[in-house]
Amino acid sequence: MTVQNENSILVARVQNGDISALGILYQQHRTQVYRTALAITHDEGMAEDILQETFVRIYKYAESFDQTQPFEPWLYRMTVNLTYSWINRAKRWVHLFQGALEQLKMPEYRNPENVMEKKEQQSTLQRAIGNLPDSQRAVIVLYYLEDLSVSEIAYALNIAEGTVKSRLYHARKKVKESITERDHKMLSEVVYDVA
Amino acid sequence: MSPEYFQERNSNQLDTLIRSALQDDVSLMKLPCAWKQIKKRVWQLKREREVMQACLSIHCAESTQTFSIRADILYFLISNSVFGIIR
Repeated sequence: MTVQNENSILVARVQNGDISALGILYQQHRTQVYRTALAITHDEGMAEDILQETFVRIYKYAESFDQTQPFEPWLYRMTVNLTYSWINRAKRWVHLFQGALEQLKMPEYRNPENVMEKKEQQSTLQRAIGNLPDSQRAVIVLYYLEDLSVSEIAYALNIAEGTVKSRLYHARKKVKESITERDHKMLSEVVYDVA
Repeated sequence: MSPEYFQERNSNQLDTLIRSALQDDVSLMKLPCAWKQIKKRVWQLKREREVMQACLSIHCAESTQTFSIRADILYFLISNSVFGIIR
């Protein structure tokens, strides 16, 4: 039995109110849902809420699932849509509590006090990705972290393939610029030290 | 070597860097155990649906049942649902 068939059967069982089938889907897909939500939001609490809500929605809307289509893009679509709503909700709070902004953007687990060159480069990249607009960040996460193809991302986000390509292009460009900027900064520091 | 070669090489390097930064970003993640909470919410949804369906079927059978039978069934369903939530 293929994975797609297996998933379709499980969703069909969920459609009939079988909670144990939902449990199997949860065991199989929780990592990718949580990872996607965490990579986009950078917030563990928010990612946990999204994980929970995604599986409650699978139960709630199982009947709307088209069994001729693969399950995973449907799951990603739900996850990313929920992530957008959570981020927008959080932004409203952040607007009210400006002081909490930095904490929300940079949780402890991704703030290494490491002076190693590679780690610093990783941090620069992570910051650059974190600063991308939500729509571009979602595409980057699905493409690089979840290894989805352009057409799968287009289906998951309900956008045209051309839009996916353009978002990828602009996101890449911004990340590249941030690296170049960092390299220039480091070079000027070295020149200053030597002088 | 052609400029395309260098461009492609740079682009591949950038791809690798982005991929590795994202993987590093989530490498320390600890999967939360959300199943207990999901199950609780789904059971609640299931019970709500059942009550709703029962109410609808009562409504459909309205013309054939006496008021007292309908009231008994409704009382049973509501108490069952309330006890279920308390339990």
